[in-house]
Amino acid sequence: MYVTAPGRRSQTGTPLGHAAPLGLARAVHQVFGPGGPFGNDDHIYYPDLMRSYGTTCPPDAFEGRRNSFTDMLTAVLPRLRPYADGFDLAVLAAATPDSQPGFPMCHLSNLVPDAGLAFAVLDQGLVTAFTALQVLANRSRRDGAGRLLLVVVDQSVLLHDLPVPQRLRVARDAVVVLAFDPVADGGRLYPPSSAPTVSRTPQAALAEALAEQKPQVLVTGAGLAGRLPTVPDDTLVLPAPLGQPVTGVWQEVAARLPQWQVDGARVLIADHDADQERLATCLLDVPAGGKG
Amino acid sequence: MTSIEAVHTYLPPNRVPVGDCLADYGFSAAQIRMHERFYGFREVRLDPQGSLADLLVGGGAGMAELAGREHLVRYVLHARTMPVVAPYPVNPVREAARRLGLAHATTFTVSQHACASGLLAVDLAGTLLADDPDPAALALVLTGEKAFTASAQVISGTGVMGEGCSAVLVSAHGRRDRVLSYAAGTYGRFSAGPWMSEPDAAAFRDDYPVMVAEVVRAAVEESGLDLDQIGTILPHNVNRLSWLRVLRLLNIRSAERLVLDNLPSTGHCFAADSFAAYQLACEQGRLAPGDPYLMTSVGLGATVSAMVLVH
Repeated sequence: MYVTAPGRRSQTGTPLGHAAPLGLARAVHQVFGPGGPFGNDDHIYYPDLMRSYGTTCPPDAFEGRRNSFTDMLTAVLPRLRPYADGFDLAVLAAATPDSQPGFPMCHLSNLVPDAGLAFAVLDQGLVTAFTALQVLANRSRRDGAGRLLLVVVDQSVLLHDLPVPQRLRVARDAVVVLAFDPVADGGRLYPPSSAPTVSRTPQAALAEALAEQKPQVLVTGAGLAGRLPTVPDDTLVLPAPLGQPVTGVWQEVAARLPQWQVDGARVLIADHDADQERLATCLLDVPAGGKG
Repeated sequence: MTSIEAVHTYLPPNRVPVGDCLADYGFSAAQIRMHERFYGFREVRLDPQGSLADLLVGGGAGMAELAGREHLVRYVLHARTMPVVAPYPVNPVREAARRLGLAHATTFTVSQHACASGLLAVDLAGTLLADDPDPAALALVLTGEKAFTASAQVISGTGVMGEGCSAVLVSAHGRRDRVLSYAAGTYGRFSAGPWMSEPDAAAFRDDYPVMVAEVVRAAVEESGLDLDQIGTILPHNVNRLSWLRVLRLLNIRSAERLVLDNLPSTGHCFAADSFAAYQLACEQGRLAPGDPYLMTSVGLGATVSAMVLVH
């Protein structure tokens, strides 16, 4: 059970302005195949939902297969051990809705022997995972929560025929999990920054972040496709794979991390969400010779 | 310290007898009588023409304490019960924030604690605001949802769901309605929620009072108070009989501490109940300055939460 007294914790947090990094212990990712069939309850829930928005599910909507958030979380968890054996706080981040109306973060307490507080942060579009990281960093500062999990998911089933902007379309089901631990030396992930893009372009906001952080590597998400500023010649740009609007940048991080841990790298992860009118950035500092 | 600056509850004007809702979902006349006479439900508010964004705007727009302070709002959080509430990528909470003049705020949904997400969102908002250099910074928590399908309209033997929105203005440094403690326990064996098997649902009903009492005790203990000092309990609106079982486990002899007065006329309004009950308790003069009180809620999934505050 998670129990806290805000009055006490607010006096024990790190001083304001001190952005303490999170220790990256493990990063895993997995892309999924077709998955399993829909359940009977889905045939009621989703048509009722679509009807309430004046639309319908396509006639063959439930003939396909799906990977629910619970399916993906359950599949990837064993690869996180020992960091899947206990956590203080786990936050799931998704832009797409689940393909099974369920409670995967509640189910997590069935799967993890020493489970702490778990919930989801949704409806932030392409910057959802950055906001979830902000929550994790905030709780780490204020609550002393040390063992943290960030679960990022994309799921591809679309149960309606309404238009979806290209940048938000999901091509494949995928999950990325980052595990943090205070004593881990696999990289230091600094709390995300968020810059409004109401009165300036995402390019201008990103150029400012690049000038400030001076990364060796820039990982960019779907919201920055075709919208990059001039990047210094010595900065390697890694665009996220198409069709993974939220998991893409973190999958790139998870895939490259082992090499970065050998060579060392200063990595800026960035994405922009037009609906939220925000550029989100996050600095990952990986020491050479570091490990999880 | 996290505090509640203001609460405003919006209820759609359209009243529907719970018997009509239950009959629509195949409940028998005897079951309907049970929900009305023993569980205490009479009618709910529904707005079939209104969207979720309309509902959330109704909560925020009626809050007098928000007017003129929109620029101070850093976060808008929707405390969500139902796992999926819109066709992708429709974003009701973002639309609501825009219509409330809060497009500048970081807007997101807190989910997975179902009806207990409201207390989580208040705690989370307060913690996030504690990192803000401006002590006047605020967060707006929006609770409430649409009863668009069977699992969002009726929880058999537990509650009949109604539509309504409680908007909650949160500060990190307020002087009234300060949060003393917050506890949340997830009982994952019931994580299938409304889609549990009948044996699991029966086990959930049996274990329910024990789980609620356990989390309430943890929150009260963390607050440094004694349960006897908690004069008012602002619960979620589920059937009265289940509350009597919880009170017995907590050795509370009088049900007068419970503010369940909204239950007959609004039903269970997802994550909004405790906040709507707070507003009612204030209007009825049941909270005096300095009074400790308890909010509690149970979310399908199953997460139980409790929060001790001082008025």
